Amino acid sequence: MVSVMRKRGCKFHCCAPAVLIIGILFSTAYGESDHPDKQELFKKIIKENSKIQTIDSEITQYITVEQNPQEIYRGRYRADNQGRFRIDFTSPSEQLVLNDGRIFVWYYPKNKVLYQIERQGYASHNTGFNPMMEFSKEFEKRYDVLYLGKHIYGFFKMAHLFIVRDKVKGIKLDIRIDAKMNTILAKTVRGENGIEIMKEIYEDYKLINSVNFPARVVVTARTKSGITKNVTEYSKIILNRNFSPSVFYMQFPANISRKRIYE
Amino acid sequence: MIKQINYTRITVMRLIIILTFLLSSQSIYAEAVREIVLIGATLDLKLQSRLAGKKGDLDRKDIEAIGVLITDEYHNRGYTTSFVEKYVLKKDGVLEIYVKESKIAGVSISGVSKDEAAEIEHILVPETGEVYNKFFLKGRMKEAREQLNLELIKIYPQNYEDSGDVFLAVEVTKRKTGLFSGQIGIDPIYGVMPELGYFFPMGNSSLNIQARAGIKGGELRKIEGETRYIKYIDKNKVINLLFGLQGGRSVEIWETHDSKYAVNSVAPYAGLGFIFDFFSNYIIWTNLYLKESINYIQDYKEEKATSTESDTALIADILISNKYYLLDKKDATELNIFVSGGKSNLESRGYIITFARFNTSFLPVSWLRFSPRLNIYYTTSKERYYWQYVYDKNLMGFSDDYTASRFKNILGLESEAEILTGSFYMGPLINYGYFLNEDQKWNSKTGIGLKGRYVYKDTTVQLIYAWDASRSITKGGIYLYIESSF
Repeated sequence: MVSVMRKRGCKFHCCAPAVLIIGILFSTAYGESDHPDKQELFKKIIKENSKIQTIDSEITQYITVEQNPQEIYRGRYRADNQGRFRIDFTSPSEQLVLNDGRIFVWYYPKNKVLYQIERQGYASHNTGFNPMMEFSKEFEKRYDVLYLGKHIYGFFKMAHLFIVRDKVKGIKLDIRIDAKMNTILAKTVRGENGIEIMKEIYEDYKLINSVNFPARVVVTARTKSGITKNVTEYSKIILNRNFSPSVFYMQFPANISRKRIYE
Repeated sequence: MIKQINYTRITVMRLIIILTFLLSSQSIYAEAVREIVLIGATLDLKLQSRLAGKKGDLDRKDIEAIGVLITDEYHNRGYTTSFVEKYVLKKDGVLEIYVKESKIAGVSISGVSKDEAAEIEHILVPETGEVYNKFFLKGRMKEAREQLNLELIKIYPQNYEDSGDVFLAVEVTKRKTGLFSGQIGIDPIYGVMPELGYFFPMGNSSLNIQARAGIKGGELRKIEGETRYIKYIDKNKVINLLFGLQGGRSVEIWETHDSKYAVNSVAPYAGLGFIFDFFSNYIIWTNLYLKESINYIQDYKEEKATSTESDTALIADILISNKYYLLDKKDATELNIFVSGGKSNLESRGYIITFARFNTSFLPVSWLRFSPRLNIYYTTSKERYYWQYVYDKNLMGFSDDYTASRFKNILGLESEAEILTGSFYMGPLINYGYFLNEDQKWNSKTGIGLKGRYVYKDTTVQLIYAWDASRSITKGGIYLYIESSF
């Protein structure tokens, strides 16, 4: 190939890189594709991702916030599809994170401090194991779905690409779904001005009790503190076990210090 | 930080509902509700669609629930001081719900000059009488902080004369100094290169100062600095004036002549810059400027020869990038094209220099990144003075070779796998160069190597070992870069 290029002189040799560059730049442009029923396809995907009712697993979380050293958390994570979750962290110290569906608290038992956290702005209201949960209610009323066909993703996998517009919040979501498993691969949230607000990547899927579950989730988001990256690795995963309601309920001691944080 | 108004939302609302029921001459259970009309709701919150099914026989609880739904909808979207004010149920079954959209009635800003306060107010509240929204204000506070280089902004919303509207008391703390950045590396041509940068934004303008030096073999091979001042001349910050000054000294090595020459230069420049959107989440930054260089050259072509050269060039520098839209800037795809046309004492018939740089990144999985890149340099000049070194940091693996070229093409592919999550990355690299050597003959070289990158807070340390693919691995060279901001 090199000798052919030399015979033709530098003309072809110079053009080839230019063509490659233009191709890469414009390859980010996709046109809408035809699918017999894109709404039904999307609903099927929502249903596939809703198979998980509860999860009980060990987690390791690597959290990096701009201008801060990385923090590593380890603990036990339990959650259900009603939006409730509980994380009992053992490292770096004993901490309890609890969302009983109404309030979200972070408790430090050794210091007897409880933070009640109020979140604003775009926040994923799901507990992490069902990334399609926000679409399960008022789907047709609230979202416009654009289907951009199948594209190569990752190591030559085929993925459906959807652009979903949330008419209420005015945000756009790019969603890539594994074309074979109908599991979510990535979700990118953009504001109306096109700037990325949050990116979620789901990978290392494991088949557990006939359900595909991502054992590694990477979430990058703009927060008040800057760009935050959270990598969560799941292990010893048990799906769809019954939890006692008391798992998501905690009676805190009376003599603790309570504080509110706005995020 | 925004301090919340001390509304006891539920209590106020319940009181209003009770009073309305008591004062109304209508019995609310006399007729079924056949239609709900919102009065005073100017924002498009799609409330009518949420209220569509809520008709028929409604008791007090049902109406309260409607009020809560509406108020919650406002509050969830950041309109935290807006609320349902009263209800009127008419004889014809129309339930009128009066919404109080709490507007920003005024702003007072302390801690800055009058002009700066006006600028901050324009960012925080671009339109008078807009409805107070906590989320919008937070975003604008961040924008004001970044644009005007402020340390802190605090907003205290206050009830405005019992009207339900909001008055914003804003306290600003200015940052005393700009932002410093620094890096140090081992460059294959100029040796150990420390670099210091200083960026100072000033609202509608900014100042950027860079200085670097290169020391190799105990000799100062390079020392240079640049000061650039930018001033936006339009409201949308799309067009800017550009003024700068470059200066320094470098010792260059002529490979085939086995000789050195030194260049001392000073070069002021001035021009215009433009920013505009390009095709689906890309932005084009364009700078067009005229640069006048005065160069004092020693030992060029002949030992002990000196000359003072004047060089006038018109330059276009274009960058197309999607970096602005991305969460992780390393994922950016960029194309930079630089074209310079000029005339000098060395090239009295004129010359053109052009170079292009393209880089992108893709991750088949989140822990593995591939970064292809392309660098092209071309000049019409046959003077060695205008050529560029082949074996610089773009074509790694070749130490102590100062071959320069008037036309070079470098293709590279770097990869890195996340070895320690979030902190240490490692991977192989390969780069290929196809270029005209100093005898004007086409030549090609391939370098391969291994790269390690460690990240801690804002500091990145990158260590590369690369060698000529046609030679022994032991004949390679080390490239080191450490960068940080503080």
